[in-house]
Amino acid sequence: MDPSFIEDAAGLRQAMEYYADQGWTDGLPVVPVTESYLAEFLAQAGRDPGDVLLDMPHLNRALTVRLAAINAALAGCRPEYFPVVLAAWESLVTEGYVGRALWQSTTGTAPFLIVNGPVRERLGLNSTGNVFGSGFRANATIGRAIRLGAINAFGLRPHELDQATQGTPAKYTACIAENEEQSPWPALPTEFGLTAADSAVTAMVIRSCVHIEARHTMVPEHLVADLAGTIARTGALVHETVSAALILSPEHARLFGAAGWSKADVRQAVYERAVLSWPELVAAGKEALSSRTRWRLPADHPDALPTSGAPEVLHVLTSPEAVLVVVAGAGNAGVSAVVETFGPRGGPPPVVRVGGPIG
Amino acid sequence: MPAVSICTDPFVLTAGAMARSYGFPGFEYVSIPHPVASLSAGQIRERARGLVPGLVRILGVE
Repeated sequence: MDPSFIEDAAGLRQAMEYYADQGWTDGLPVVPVTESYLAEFLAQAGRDPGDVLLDMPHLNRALTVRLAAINAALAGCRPEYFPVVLAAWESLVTEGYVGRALWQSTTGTAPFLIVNGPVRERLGLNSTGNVFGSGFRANATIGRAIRLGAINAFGLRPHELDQATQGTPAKYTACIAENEEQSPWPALPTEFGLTAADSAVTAMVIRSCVHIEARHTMVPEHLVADLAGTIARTGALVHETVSAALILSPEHARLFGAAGWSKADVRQAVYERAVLSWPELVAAGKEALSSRTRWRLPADHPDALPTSGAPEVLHVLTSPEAVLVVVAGAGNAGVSAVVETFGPRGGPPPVVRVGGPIG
Repeated sequence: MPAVSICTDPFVLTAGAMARSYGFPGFEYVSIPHPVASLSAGQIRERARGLVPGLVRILGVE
């Protein structure tokens, strides 16, 4: 290491403390950004720095390409990550929830990113072991770039405009790459019009990421029961129905694949099995819908819509398409996850091709 | 039409932040105890009665 770097460390620390004092952080140190460093990010953008990516008129604020670049740099991204960050913002905007103040809600959501295609290897994005965990700069900082944008461009700070009751650990960062190499199925974006040669980001607003452990079986229906039972938990059933992304480990994906199941077969089976009985709904006080919000509540609530008898079961998913299937993680155990999303509930997910110089 | 915003006590910090972001740091609103969503109809009526003096004050009614 060049010794002059050490002499500069005091200045670097001073800059980091200054940024923290300004509140330009999620609590962890951020990287100081100069105009020349910012220019390296903007050179990767392939678009005008003044272009508006996301407008929140109710807050009087907007995120431009320049602001997205500043926050990517603050987050610790390398400049070549920036096209992925831009695609992530475009995907979130396409999904639509962030523009509707959902990031301010007491629910406490986080942006979750899935990256596909050749860009994974080029940037060193982790798709295998510890995929939701720490240890990989591209995953850590691309996810964090979105969060810092929310904080700094829109002022969505906790105890101010971010009203999350508890939030989620995913708020620091939540960016995975699909393990396409160990999947028995075509990659996620190829289901929605892109090719395997395209790099893409699919973003979604999520509420939580629930762990599934099933090492005991080679029977696909057993695994479906675990996945569907998790999706159908009453605690997640706030609205009329729910939606989810299944993040299957290679072992679980292979279990389905070896039995001849396609992704559509998995979706269909999970849809059919993700049900709650009437007594289960009544026990949780969630058997009826509000006439105003369509949130769930007891049938004797003054706002409750009349229920038409007691149906045998409620399908908590509107259709098989309300579940996405993605493969990620190491091929070393029967461990998967159900990511509880706000959508889609049948519509296509917001798959956005990564553009710019590295696309 | 004159209007008054109502929020529950835990949202006071956010209400203040929203007011500042619009350039009205002294914006007045009524705050009531939390929660509301899980109250019965009778309890809601009680809350409503309790906040009337605050509404009247902010609206400037003599």
